[in-house]
Amino acid sequence: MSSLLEIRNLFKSYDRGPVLKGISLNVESGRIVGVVGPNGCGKTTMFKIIAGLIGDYQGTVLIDGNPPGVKSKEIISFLPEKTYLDEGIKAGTAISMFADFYKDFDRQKALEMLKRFNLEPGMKLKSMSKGMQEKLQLILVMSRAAKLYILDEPLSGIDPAARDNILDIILNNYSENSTVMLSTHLIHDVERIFDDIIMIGNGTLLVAESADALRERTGKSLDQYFREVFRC
Amino acid sequence: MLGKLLKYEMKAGARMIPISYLATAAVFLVGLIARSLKIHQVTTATTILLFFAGIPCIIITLIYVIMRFHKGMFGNEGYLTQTLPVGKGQLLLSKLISSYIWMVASAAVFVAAWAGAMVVSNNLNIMPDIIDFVFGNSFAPLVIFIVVSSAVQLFAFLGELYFAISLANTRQFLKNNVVFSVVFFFVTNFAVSLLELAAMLLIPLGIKFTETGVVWTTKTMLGDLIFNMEAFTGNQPLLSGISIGVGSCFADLAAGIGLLLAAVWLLNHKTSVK
Repeated sequence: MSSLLEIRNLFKSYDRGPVLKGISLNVESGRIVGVVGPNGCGKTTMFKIIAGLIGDYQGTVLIDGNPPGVKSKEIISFLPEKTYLDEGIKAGTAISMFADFYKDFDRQKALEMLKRFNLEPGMKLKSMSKGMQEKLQLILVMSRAAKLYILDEPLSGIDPAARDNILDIILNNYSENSTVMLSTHLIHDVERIFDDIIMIGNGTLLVAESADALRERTGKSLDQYFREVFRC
Repeated sequence: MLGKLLKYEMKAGARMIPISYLATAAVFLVGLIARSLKIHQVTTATTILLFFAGIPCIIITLIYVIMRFHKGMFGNEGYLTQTLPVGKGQLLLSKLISSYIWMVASAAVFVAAWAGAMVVSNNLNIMPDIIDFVFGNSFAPLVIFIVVSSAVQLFAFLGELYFAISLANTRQFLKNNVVFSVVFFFVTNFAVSLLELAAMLLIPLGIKFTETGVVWTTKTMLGDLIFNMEAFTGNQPLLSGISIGVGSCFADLAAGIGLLLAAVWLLNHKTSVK
């Protein structure tokens, strides 16, 4: 297995103190990786560093052999927690924009998904519900043939009925050679899709192994193990 | 990629800025109609409005330029902008070019609104006489000097703005990034102004406005000023004409380039998207 993502001794501090305290891990190609941990444990910060949104960190981050930059951004498809599209933009315009900037973007696939989820290309972002906005962003991200998908809390703010739809979008639209890193609090809902699990607590790496191996080793589901580790 | 970035930057500006241009054009139109219908009060009111109409155009553009950079790079939109597969230099350049174009367009509307006020008040025909009386044969070179000087000043201004906002979005200042953006802008602006003044006074290249026209001079502006002051106190004849050092233009150009490069470095190594 080749290492798609390599992180060595990753440190990052904010004013309030250190957030990542020397994390080292490898992520291989062709895996669905769950990244879990309590609020403020550093998951989003780690994702932002990999995506190239934070420049002042210590340590080594290599994505397919390259540090975060233009080359890495060509192969990473990143879904942040926040709505990053302008509220005046139409769904169709957003699709055109992604098609303009990403060589690996499949416009047809995006339009089909849009139709499937009852979204119109002429709909403006501000006229959509939060769930619709999140679906649109996920459609944009998953319409790329990226090597690494980073999805930060794609299920938060989505009602339970729609969660399966979101998981469908993810599972049906990534190629088997690419890797999906997905952070979530809703482990119970998604643990069945994880090949590997990365557990972060208080800025340090607690677990990085295959989901099956962890279940076998602990005799617990990922959700049960998570609750046990982070019990107050 | 720069062309594509520029396309979206210009589109974003086109959603907001031209509204003020249309409003200015509407005032001009009302003024013209009022003039032809001889409604004097409306003609006077629109003339006054047109004299001031350029100011909101420039203010709106300025607010847009600041917000576009701040929100587009470090706000929620930064999550999209900064994950595009383009270098930070290209991102900055696209914002710089589009901001420059919009600022120049707003300045042109400002001038056009003044001309419009002269048309509405039926005074356009006296403009050549006023210009000739005030500037004589120096008008054309003076306009060229003002245009060139303003062009490089605008470049330096945008450099100051982008540098200040970028610096305010580094770790140490992130918590109060808006306040620090303002502080850093004024500090940078003051430093660049000092540099401009020094370069204008000390670089031995300038233009001299004389009775016969405008000529290049290779004497420093400071030298001319000192000579005139000594001549004045010693009751000696003063130098003829007024000289202006053009070194300030070089200083603005250098400051703009330096600040933009510093902003790119900060974007690459020190800033974070909130």
